[in-house]
Amino acid sequence: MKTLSVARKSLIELLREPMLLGMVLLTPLAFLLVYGFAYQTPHLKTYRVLTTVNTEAGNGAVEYLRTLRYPDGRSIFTIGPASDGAEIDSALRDRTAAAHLAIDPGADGVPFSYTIRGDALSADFLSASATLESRLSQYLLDSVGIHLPVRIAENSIPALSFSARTEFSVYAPGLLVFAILLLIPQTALLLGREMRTRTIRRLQLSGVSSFAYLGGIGVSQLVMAVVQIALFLFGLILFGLDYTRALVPIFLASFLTAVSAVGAGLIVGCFVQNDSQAVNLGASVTMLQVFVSGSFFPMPTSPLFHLFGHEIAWNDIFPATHAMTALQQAVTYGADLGQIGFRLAATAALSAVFFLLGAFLYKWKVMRAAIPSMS
Amino acid sequence: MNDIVLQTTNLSKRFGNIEAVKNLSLEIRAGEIFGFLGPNGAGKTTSINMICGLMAPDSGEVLIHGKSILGDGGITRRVGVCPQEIILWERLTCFEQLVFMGEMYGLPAKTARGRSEELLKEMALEEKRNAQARTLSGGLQRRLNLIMALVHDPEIVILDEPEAGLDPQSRVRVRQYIQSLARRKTVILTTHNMDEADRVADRIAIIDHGELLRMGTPAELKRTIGEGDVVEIRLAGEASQRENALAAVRQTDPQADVRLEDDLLSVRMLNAVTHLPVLMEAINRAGAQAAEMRIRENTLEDVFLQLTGRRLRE
Repeated sequence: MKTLSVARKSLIELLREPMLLGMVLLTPLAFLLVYGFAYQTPHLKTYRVLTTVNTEAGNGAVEYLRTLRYPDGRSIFTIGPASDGAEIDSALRDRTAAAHLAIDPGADGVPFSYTIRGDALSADFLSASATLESRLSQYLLDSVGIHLPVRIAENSIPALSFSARTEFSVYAPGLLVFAILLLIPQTALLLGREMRTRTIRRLQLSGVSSFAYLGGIGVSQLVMAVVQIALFLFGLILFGLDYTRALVPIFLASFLTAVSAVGAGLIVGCFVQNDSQAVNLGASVTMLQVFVSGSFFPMPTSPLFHLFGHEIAWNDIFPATHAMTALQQAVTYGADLGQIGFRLAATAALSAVFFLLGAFLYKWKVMRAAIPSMS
Repeated sequence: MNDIVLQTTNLSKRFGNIEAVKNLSLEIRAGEIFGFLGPNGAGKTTSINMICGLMAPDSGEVLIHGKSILGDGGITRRVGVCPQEIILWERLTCFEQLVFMGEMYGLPAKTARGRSEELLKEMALEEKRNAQARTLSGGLQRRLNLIMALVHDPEIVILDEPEAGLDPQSRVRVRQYIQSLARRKTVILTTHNMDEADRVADRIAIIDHGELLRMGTPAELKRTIGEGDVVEIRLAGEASQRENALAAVRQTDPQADVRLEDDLLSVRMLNAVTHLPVLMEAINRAGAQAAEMRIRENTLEDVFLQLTGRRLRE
């Protein structure tokens, strides 16, 4: 009863603060819009390659590269001749070309040799050079009549029926995790505000238990989270990401992440005295979790041990890490509940730990008073 | 009236080197309005915080109906506290916050709503029922702050400086309301306003530097410094003439309590009105002149002055 009263009161306060409400609901959508428009390029890109061909035999290789296609019919490479070294260096530096391919006369019966150059820090170069290398090696061996018993076969991983996968589909799970983790500063803000206005003192005097109070805060934030997740998932559909087959696992993983974010917000709330401290510290904790969970960039880690056949690294102590993996598999590959069961269970268990830790810490640090019933 | 509702025994609290409250022992009776009177920093709020359980004492204990509050989980239902500062949820309406606090104290939703309507009416806030707290004037916020302490119908009401920062209209309203609580509830209030304490409280504890100096009804306290009225005469003239006037007035009645502070001559004596011509003649004889004069009864300020050598406002 008291929990629901606190939840209702917190929601009323949020609804009467349009700026905060807008920040909570619209910030993730703003990120979605930016990423949605910025990364609409197909995930399987067509790479521009500059070529310098110094031998007749090389022309056939270039023609061969021109014929290479993705399964959907798009070219893997657009090939353009390079006039001079300065132009090549400039294009590679500016990343207007993914790689430079130089084909020179071969030796010892090999029709030609080749050199691939590019910016090793460019993801496009890494992808293009790997494909160039494998295809040209194959072409060379074929041209001298050597047929390897193993041939490279490229097949797509079974995925949802996306009409066209884009880079956006790769970033979408990370954005969703980020959006949900914004609940950390928001939850901390509610607690910080009770400290600033000293209304927490009224609650202490009333003898309401920490768990009833924090449970209410948690319920209100989870209601906000459901709205936030729904808006975000609707936004994904608008950008052409059809994940509906995996809606239940996606929603479950998102909701569990929200529980962990509320728990983390309660922990942050134990260390703040006002709204601005809550937002600042909460945002730092959000960004930390976003990065360690690999939501924006893959986090290089070494496994510490295995659990139920899954590698566990140091960053797996954060529920967001498991949620991120689960969401990637569900959003990108349409994984079902069974396939991401371990990650969901890990997210749920760690979220519960975060929530309980937050509640105990808040009880100990803030709500404790002289009278036992208030602690 | 003789039932002891609240008792403190040797309550002490220290903050670093400062002894905020020293061995405070009180007995507060059911249905009385009990005032803590003292200047700012006297230890009133610290005492209140220990009494309502927000602060643990270093030593001593607080008993409600003979039971220590530390062992009584039901204490919160029996006590309502109106803090000195305004503590409200800025974006909740008057009605919403009263209902919310009622529910936090464990009232059923229906009872909390009914009680909230009742209190809004009693404090003339029904027109502001649906106004958010942040939109209320300071005076109206203070009124709301006060009834927030009463929503769960507590047996003991603790009011910390309830008239602080109030406009005259709200002050009258709040004072009347506190007086209306008498007999229905036990009210403990802190104040540094002697007028408020004098008019409202049945009994008063005068406290300074954390120590209880004296306790009693306002009349008893005023009697401790002597019977009679006080004649206050503002003197014109040189300092030496004023000193001469002091000596001359003292000679007119050796029983009178005569003091001179700057240019203010205070004479406490029985039947002051009939002595006025004699006093005026003595002043004139000393070469001083009376620029202004008034006769008043003893006040709690006089009591505090006699006990501490300082005025409450200092």
